This record gives sequence, C-alpha cells and structure tokens, in this order.
Amino acid sequence: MLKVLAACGNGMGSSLIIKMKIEKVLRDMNLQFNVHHASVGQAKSEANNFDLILVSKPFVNDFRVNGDTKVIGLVNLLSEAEIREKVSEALGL
Amino acid sequence: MGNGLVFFFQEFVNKFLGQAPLLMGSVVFIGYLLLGKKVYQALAGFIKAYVGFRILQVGTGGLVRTFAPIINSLTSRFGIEAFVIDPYFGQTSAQEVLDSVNSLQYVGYVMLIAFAWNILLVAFRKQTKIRTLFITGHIMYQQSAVLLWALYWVLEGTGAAVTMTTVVVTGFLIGTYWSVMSNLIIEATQEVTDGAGFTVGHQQMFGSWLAYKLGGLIGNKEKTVDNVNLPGWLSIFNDNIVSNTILMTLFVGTIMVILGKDAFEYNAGKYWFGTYVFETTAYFAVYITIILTGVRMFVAELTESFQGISQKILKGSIPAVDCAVTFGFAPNAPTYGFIFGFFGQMIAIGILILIRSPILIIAGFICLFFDNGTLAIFANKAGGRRAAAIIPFISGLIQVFGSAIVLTALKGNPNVIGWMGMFDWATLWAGTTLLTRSLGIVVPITLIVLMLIIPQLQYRRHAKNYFTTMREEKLVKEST
Repeated sequence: MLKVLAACGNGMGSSLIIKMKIEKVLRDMNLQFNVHHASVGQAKSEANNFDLILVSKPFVNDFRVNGDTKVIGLVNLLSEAEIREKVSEALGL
Repeated sequence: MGNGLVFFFQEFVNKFLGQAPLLMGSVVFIGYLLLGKKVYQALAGFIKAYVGFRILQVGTGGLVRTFAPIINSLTSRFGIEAFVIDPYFGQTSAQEVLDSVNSLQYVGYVMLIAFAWNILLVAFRKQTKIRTLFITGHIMYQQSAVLLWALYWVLEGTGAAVTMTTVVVTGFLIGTYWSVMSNLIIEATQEVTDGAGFTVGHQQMFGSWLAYKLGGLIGNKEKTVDNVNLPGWLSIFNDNIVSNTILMTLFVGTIMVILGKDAFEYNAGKYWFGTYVFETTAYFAVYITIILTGVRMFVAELTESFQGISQKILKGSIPAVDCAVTFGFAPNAPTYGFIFGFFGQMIAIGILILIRSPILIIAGFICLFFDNGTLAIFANKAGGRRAAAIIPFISGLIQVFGSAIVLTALKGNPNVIGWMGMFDWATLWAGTTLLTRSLGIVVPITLIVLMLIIPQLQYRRHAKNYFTTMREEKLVKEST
C-alpha cells in the first residue's frame, strides 16, 4: 500500500486537485494506494509517515524527510503526464 | 392524505433541509448516487460532510468567542472597532450572523443555485460564450456565505430569516460572477501557465485580469522575478500555522498590550501578561486550523461530487480551480506579492490610525499570501518584477481601504469579526454591497445582466480561437 500525501499552502484547494489527479494516475498504474491532503504546515509534521509527498514546486524545500520518503515538486498540478512521469521516477518504475 | 404529505414535506424542509450540516451531507449523498457510487460510499460521504461541517462550526464559534472580548474592550476604550480581513474571519461572520437568524442552510441553496446556473451557462456556451466551470469547493461555499450575509444585512437585516428572494438573487449573482470572471481570466491564465488548459476560480479573478492588463504597462516582462534570490527565512511563512500565529500575535497582541492588563480578566497566578497575550492570540491559529480541518473534510466530498457531475454532463468545459495552482509556474512571484502587499496593507492601516478611523483593520495571512501572490503571478507574466512589486503594493492599500468602507455598512452585529479582504471583495463586492444598501435589490439584478455582457465582448476580440486554444496574444503576434 502506497501512502501518499498531497500538500499546499492552506491545504484546501490545490492539494485537493493534486489528490484527485494522483488517485487517477495511481489507479491507471494499477497500484494500491491511500492519498491524504493537508496544508504544508501540517504536512511537514507528518511527512515521514508517508511514501510520497506531492507539492507545488515552491514548497519542495520546506520538507526535510528521511528514510524512504520522496518529495515531488510539481509545476502543473493538473497535468497527469507530469505526475505520472515524476511518480514513476521516484518509485523507480 | 394530501395534507399529510404537504405536512411531511414542510417538516422535512424545516427539520432536515433546514439544518445546514444535514443539507450539506444530503447534497454529497445525492451527488455520489448520481455518479453511480455504491450506497455505502454515498453514506460515508454523507457522514464526512456532516462531521466536517460540525467541526467547521466549532471553529467559527471559537473564533468569535476569542475575538469578541478584545474588540469589545477596544470599542469601550477608544470608540473604534477592529476587524480582520482574512476570508475565514469573513466566513465566520457570515455563518454566525446567518445562524443567528436560522438561515445558515440557505448558504447551501445559494451554492446549489449558483452551481446549476454555471452549468447551464456553460451548456449553452454557443450563446453565452461562457467556457468555464467553477469547481473550487471551499471558495464556492465561502463566497455564497459571505455574499448572502452582506446582501441580507443591507437589504433586510431584520433579525427574521433571510427571504427566498434574497437567496435566489444571491445565487444567480454569485453564479454569474463565477462563470464570467473565471472565463475572463482564461486567456491570461493560458499565458501564465503556457497553455495548461485551466483557469483560476478564486477570489481575485477580476483583480488578476487587471494585474495582467496593467502589468504590461508598468514593467518589462523579460525581467521576471525568477532571477531574484529571496532570503531563506521568508520560507517560514509557507507554514500556514506559523504565519497565522505570527500575524495574529503581532497585530492582535499589539492591541492587547495597548489596552493593558487591566482590560482582561485573566489568572495572574497562572500567566504573565505577556504569555497570556501569546496564548490568546495563538488561539486564532488553533481555531483557524479547526475551521480548515472541517472545511477540508466537507469540501473534499463536495468537490469530488461536483467535479464528477460536471465531467459527466459537460465534456470540454474548462475547470476553474484554486489560485495556488498557478504558483508552480513562477515560484518567486507569490513571495513578491506577499512582501509588497504587506507593505501596502501596513501603510493603509497606518493611515486609518492617523485619520482616527472608527474602523481598524487587522491583516490576515490568506489575503496577504494567496491574494497578492496571485496578483503578482499575473503581473509578473505581463510586466516582470517591477509590476509584481507595484501591483501587489497598490492592491494592499485597496484591500484595507475597501474592506474598511464596506464594514461601515456591515458592522453592528456582535457576530461580525471581519470581512473577506481579497481584491474582488474589497472592490467589486464592497461596491455592490454599498450600492445595494442605497438602491436596493435592483443593483444585484442589474449586475447579473451587466456581467453577462463581458464574455460577449471577449468573444468579439478573438472569435477564431476563442473556443480552441483560448490564446489571444498568439493571434496578435501571428497577424502582425
């Protein structure tokens, strides 16, 4: 089960959009997953409990993660192609 | 038998749909069933929406309880009132005022009327020239609540429940705004995102359009903000909890210190005055986080069912999404907007104090970061870093003055603690509220008609690729 966290400034709009897009991408990739969304402030505290963190590019440096957690910075949050490419790379698929 | 049915229907409307959380849950439930989800999934959606709404109400109640004593003390000492221009303070005022007249459920009606109207306008896009569907759930709820409160207060404000006329007019008005303004900003958004195929559906669509149009006049688009190194400590403001706490401690804390320790009843055996001030102001961050958690929960369900419905019946419409979706395309611009908007707001607040305004404005995090950040994104694309500095600065002035002016018409209810200071709300909606107060319901009705003319004018400018690439600039370049 892949645990994914989508985050944005306030955890309301953009992260929900990322969530809906990543769910579609992961479904297409035939993976088992669970996606949450939150604000950057909340996400930082729980980042290490997730396998993947997806944020808009400006927020990548806000995350200090250890272990296997990967942080992905997106330019176009609505682009399934960009999400698919970056997620595949992070997961080594 | 017939009477029994009518009675049951009336009871159902009052005791079930009349309860805002049950109404929200039902909307999600029906939405999910329409999408063909299983009954148990729809039931789970109902529960999440209901619980989320109740959590939201815990937050709004707490925010008013924390803020009211400070404001009362300020009013009795200096005869001035303070309001926060953060959207969640505006939303809290709206919810608490409407709830006090048993009308909170009408926000749901307004939102549904507006969403249905938006769908209809897109369905007839050949005639209406509207290409965009608004799916930013938390904004849709927030704007429905704030506009219903504002129009109710200036049109009726009787203490009786909101009338159906006001509910219906508010619904059509806000639905027209969503459709027309998100449609207006498509071309500029396409330039900012290099043709990403979405538009902004937020609180400053008219402002962003202005920023894009004016940005080109005051700056050079080649000198962008991307080539600037910004100081690293600014990144602590990316954390909304930290930002809210810092800003509230700074502003409300200053007010509390000026009022002095005698103005507050606190346990001196437990706190120093300084720690008491911090603990009080930090409660704003606590309640805002509770509000966000609640809204996030019910809006996630709502947005999913809205988006599903729209995909089913409206293929090819352009989604109007949260303004922060544009932030990845110019990562430095939002910080620029934040800094210069902050200066603008501070100067405006200073002027309010100097002229002894009876209304004092307190800056809010969301307005500073997201609103001016978005204006900076659009200004930067058209006019580089010069535009990305000047426009948010002026916007900061407007946000404070516009909100202060509209609050003169909205204050006078103990539940009012703020207004949505975002650009469109400090200009367009502040003006609409004030005009409606003097001229009545004819103002919102006229505005609906006037706004619907805008997409027709847009269409005339570039009919050829209006429905295809949606890029106006390209056409100009090719033809010259």
